[in-house]
Amino acid sequence: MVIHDEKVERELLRRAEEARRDLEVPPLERLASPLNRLAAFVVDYFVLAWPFAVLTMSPFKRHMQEANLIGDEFSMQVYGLLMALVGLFTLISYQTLFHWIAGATPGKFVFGLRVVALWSRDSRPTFWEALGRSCFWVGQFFLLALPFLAVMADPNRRPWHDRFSNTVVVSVRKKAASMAPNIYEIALVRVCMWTVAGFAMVGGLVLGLREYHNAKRSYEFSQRLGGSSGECEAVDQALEDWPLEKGEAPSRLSVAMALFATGDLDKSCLRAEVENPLSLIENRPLAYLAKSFVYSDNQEISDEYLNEICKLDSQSDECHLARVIEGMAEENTELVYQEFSKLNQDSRVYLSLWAIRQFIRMQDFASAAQYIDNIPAHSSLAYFMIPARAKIYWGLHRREESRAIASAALDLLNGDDKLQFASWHCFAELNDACSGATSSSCRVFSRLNEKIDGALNDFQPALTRLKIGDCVPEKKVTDLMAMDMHPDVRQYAELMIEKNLRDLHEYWQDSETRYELKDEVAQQILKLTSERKYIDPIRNDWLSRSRGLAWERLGRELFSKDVATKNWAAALKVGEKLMQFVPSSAGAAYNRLPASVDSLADKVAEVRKMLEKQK
Amino acid sequence: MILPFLAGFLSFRKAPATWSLFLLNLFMICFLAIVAPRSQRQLEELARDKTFTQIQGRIFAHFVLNQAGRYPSSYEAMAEQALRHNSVEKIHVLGMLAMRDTYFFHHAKDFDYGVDPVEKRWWIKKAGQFLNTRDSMLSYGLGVTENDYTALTWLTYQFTHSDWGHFLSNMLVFLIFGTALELAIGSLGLLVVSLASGAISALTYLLIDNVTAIPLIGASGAVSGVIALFCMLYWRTGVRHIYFLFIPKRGYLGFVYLPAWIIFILWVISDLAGYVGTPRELGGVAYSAHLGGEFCGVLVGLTYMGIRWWRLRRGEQVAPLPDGGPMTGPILARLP
Repeated sequence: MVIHDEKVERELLRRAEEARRDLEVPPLERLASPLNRLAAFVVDYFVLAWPFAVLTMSPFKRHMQEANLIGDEFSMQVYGLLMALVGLFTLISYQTLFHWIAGATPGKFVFGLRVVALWSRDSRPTFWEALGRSCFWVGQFFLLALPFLAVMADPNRRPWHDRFSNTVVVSVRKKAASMAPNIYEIALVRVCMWTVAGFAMVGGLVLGLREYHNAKRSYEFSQRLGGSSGECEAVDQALEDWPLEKGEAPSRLSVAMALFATGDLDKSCLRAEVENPLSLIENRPLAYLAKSFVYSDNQEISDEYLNEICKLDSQSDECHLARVIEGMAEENTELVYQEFSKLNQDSRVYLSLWAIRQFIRMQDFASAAQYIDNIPAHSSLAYFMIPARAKIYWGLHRREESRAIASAALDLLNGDDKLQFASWHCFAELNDACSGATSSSCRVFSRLNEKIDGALNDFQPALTRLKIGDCVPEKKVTDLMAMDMHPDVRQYAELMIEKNLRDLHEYWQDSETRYELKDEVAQQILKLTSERKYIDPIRNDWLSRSRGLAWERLGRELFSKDVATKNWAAALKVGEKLMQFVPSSAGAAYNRLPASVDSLADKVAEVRKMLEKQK
Repeated sequence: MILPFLAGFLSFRKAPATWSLFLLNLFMICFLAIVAPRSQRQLEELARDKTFTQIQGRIFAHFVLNQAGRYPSSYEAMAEQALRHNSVEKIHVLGMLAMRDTYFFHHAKDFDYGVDPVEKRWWIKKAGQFLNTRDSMLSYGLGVTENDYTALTWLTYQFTHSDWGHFLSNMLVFLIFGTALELAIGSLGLLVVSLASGAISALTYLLIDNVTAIPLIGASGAVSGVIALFCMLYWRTGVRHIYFLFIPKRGYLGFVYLPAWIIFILWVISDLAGYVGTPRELGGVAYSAHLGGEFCGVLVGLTYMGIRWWRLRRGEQVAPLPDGGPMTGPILARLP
């Protein structure tokens, strides 16, 4: 039985007629092969037309680059657009004129190709057909050139530009001609289309996100440039309610220096403030001091500024601070103290801030405490002063006050500042006793340590974590070795795990070892041995210094060790020195001393008696 | 890719002058590669020193704003914006641009415009180091700069290249066209044309370009002159080219013959586009020198053609230009 469907039959006949018409070509003419068309394209646009297009675009390109140099975004975009339009115009003109006049571009001529009208096959396209063809040809590039794949899919190898203009590209050379696409070409086109579609979707998403991110960054950057004066917003805001200094309104630079001392202002902002011409006129020494900080990465010019300050006025506070900086660079503690002592007690805020900062770093908390009252209660300074107070009070053995302020500091601070402060305070707690591991600062530190990537790459957090490991059996030191850690602390941790006395002693003696680690290493040595050949050098070194929480802790360990080994003379020396620097109220820290002793003073008195008895 | 493939290429016997010039260039670049690196490194270190470029940029910005009319408006606009907004990026760009300006180096130290004296003193010291290092560089001494050239440097600059890429790109083209030209005009002719084109290129560069501190070096001017003269002599003659159209199939690689005027027009247009499209401040290629060399080649070619025409008009016997056998042929491509 035959099912006779007229509709289907009509459709099939229509398609057959279309196919016959499409395949009908005059003698000696064939369709141009895709490779020949590609080759003609290369010759046309990479050899012949390119220099002309570049020449016509060059004036705009130049203006665009000049606009880019001066950061004129609008002009850059305008010239960029004009450049693109001129380039397009050149390409379209090239195609249109050659196709209209000669029926082929030079590249097509080289490969024996011609663009002919579809139905007549022996006439060139008209001007309008050539123009339309060229415009569509260019337009297809904006679609990632995908429509060009039709040369391998369309039965007459006609992409959109040929379809629009009713043209077809044929070959005048029989041997180089081609027939309709075969199934392999069609399959290739389909694979290409799907692959490109996939990449386009993913690529579009990635590009979109990147553009958003770039736009956000350039907006933030342009906000940072500030107002027409190029100065900093942070200084503007702080100046609104900054108190008078020495009865006068402070200068912008003075406030900027104060904020820089607290770490709330970066070098670029400080530079912007110091480049204000008024800064140089009103207070040249201060401007030079600021510049020495701005150029701190280049020691040569930084030192020149410091030298210049004292030439201007050798009695100014800025000159004394310059000499302090010089002393710190040379590790000349005597010079540092000498120059600090010359600073006016009611000196400007930024000087007091610098003094506090340096003395905390030197662990001279008593000296730091002298400057606290010079600092006004200003919101910009809170982030610095609250943690600083906590450290100073701790150093002065006002433990409970320090803990209270530390809690406030931990609530106030964020991110890395919080981590740094928590690690400092936790370390200080552990220095007193391992029970400090349960303090709030140690709890906060442990939480942040796990949360922040690379937290242990900094020295203080790494050292604190190591100390926790030493105190708390659950948090073993060996667990640390698998983490990213500051290299100096890692080296010390390895020695701690091995517990090799000789290696520890060598490490302690090494001049390259950081002083913060030296006292820790010394404590480890004291735990492992009572031999005098190890302990005596440690004691002599300790006696030659006199500052720092770790120094004090080491002193207590030395005192305990000497008492335990009945080395009364040494114990007396250590004890008496400790008493000079430790307040008598610091009894709690000394409860690790032998029983029935309430204070260091009593223990030292007992040691004195033992020594006299020995004599 | 398409390159001329002419007669005489790779033959020392047929083109001794061309090959001698090539070997001299090769010797110079090898010599400089051994002698120059330390100074080059010092200069690069200074250029990378952010403090130096920042301070120099700031001083240059003040300098530009105080030299009314001397600098392009783009410089003045950039300097004003840099100082007003304290823009680190613009100041750095100005600092780099200042390194191309000998006038600035010679006059800025005497100019007082309220810049921090400590900064200025430091910059003068560093700028002195920069100038001393630069002046001690052999490639600088051999090159041509606006304030510092001699009769000898008009010759020596043609044999000095900045790097191997510069050298290879120039010498490849020089060998291709130089050997063919030498077959036509002889070794002495090639030598004269090459050196004269180089000299005219340098003159053009000095007259047109405003860069005073960066020396002109390279054989591009001479090469441009050689190419131009070749094209003038073989204007309508089909010149063999080897081509490869990135399709590894018969018909898409091989030889094709194109008239020399195509080469000339494309070469000139490329240089013109480069000259027009590149701001002076940013240029690394001296397009003006190329154009000067091309002008010289055209002039020599026209003079030669003029003399030939005059002699032919007077009825004298004039020998035809050697067609070189494989060099000539039909203009259309010979595709298989």
